[in-house]
Amino acid sequence: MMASWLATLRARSDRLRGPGWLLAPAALLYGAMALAPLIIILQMSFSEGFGAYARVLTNPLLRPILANTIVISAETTLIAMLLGYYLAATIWRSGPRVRMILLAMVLLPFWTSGLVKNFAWAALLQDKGLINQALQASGLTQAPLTLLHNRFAVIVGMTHYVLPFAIFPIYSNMLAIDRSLERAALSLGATAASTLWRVTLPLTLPGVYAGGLITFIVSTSFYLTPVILGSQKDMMIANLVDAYTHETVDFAGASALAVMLMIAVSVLFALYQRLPKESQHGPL
Amino acid sequence: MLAAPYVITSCAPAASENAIGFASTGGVYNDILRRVWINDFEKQTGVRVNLSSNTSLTQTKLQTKTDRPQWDVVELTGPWYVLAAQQGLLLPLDTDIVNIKATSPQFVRPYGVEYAMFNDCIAWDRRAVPDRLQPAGWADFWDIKARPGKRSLNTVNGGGTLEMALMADGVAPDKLYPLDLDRAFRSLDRLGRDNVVWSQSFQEPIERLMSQEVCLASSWPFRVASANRDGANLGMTFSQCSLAGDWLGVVRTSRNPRAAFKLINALISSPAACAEFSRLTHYGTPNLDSLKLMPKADADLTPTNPALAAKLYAPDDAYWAANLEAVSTRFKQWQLGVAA
Repeated sequence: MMASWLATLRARSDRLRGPGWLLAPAALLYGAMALAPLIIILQMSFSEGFGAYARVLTNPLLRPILANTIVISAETTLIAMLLGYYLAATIWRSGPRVRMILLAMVLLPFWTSGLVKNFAWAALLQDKGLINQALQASGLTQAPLTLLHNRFAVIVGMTHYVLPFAIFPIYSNMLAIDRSLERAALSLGATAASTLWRVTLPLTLPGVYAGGLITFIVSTSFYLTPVILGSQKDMMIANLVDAYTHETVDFAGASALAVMLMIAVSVLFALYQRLPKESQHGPL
Repeated sequence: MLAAPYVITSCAPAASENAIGFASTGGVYNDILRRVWINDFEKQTGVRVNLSSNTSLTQTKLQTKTDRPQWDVVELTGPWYVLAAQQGLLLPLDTDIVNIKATSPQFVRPYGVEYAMFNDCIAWDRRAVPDRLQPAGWADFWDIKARPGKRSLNTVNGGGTLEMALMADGVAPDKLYPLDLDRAFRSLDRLGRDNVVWSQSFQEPIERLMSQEVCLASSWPFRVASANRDGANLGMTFSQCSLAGDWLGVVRTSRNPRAAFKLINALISSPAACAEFSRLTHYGTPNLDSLKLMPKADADLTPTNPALAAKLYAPDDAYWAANLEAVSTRFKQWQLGVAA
């Protein structure tokens, strides 16, 4: 087992024309920074046998907060996919200059700290914020609309955050499409709409599935946005982990909940790995 | 997404024979601690003090899971102190070193000393609430019809929201405990979930008042006074507000408990230093002799002043420690809008 793994590793490193020990720093980093904390959390979650799991599963807050997490993540995913598909298609079809500008506009926020993005949205959405001032100045509204500290603000902030996760799988899928297929459809008399529906969309479905799943996975573990843009009404699972950690200092409970969240996300991730890879002919 | 609750952010060196760690709240506050007490303490004892800024019960508990803790002395809120004592995170107070005669007995418990007393306050935006409508207590704070607009309440340190709700419904400040939860949540229903904006830090209520997101807020006098010095137009009252304090204790796994208790002793025993601390922070100290050394204007704002204390109520930390989990679960159910 170990030997064959080493052999594979050696074969791979030969292919990269570098000795295997060059992988050691990366292995150390993952071991120390990712695996060790996971093992500690697993240990802490079982510090009372299954007691902490029982406590978390019988917590009356679990069901409404789980429902929040699923509903908010699903709504975010849906909106991000609709916006993302349109944006990916626009980028795909634009000339190189526009394409570069659009990609920069997607990537720049992607590289910006989540904290900054959330506070920026809070500044825009508050009662005396830019959006309400503009609405009132233009006479569209008389009093400020409540845009902040509610579900709407959470969805806006989360959609903004996850949009690149939706765009890139779809976009890279589109890049692999042979454009002559569309021309063929159009020349055979298909309308633009039916070309989109019967040719382009099926060809991009692998990207849509991959983008949708990764967007949903990222959404389920949000912590910051419900805190800054939402109200306590919008608590998600990560916020309950925080309450266990900081309010009741129940480390075992916090760990048990974190482990359960991790298992749920791992199942989704396993599904993600098994998705059909993008191809010219759509999913097989 | 960015929370990393298990990361110990202090990079102070581990305590050696001649150094101890003191975890407090940071910022200007730590500068004042150093100026008033710590520089002198270091000179007199030769023990170096590493000040940290991120004290919390969570971090305190993590300190006890290692035999080389970075913190020796920790500053804890009232409910945190009770939980820390219950969970065995602190050493019993060494009264051979800590001169408790310098304080009044109400500030001394088996595992710690209360040393920084502060009260919260009702603050309002004077642009939105005219002087003739200035609130006299929580019943006025709750009155949406007379004072339309949102209210900021806190989740910091438990926030005291249920106590406020009961006083808004007419319960006397000295008859609050044990909390009548049904009555408190009925009162909160009357205020309305959507009329409340929850603040999670000490500065947020002030920001929300100044940006006119809310017209009334539960806040802290020091924050309101600072905002007004910087040009804000906020009103405040102490009536029906809570008097709370931070407690000093020594972490159970401390490698230098003698020096740690010496530091606690230094923080409470000098009336002159305590008076200077109160003058700079408006916090009270357990050293009541210090009140006599202060100018009247400062003494009047210090919450341990008997005249001011009469307006305030003391939260029952023991009630909260015993009921925290059940009450906070029910409170979150109310916030989430699901039936208990």
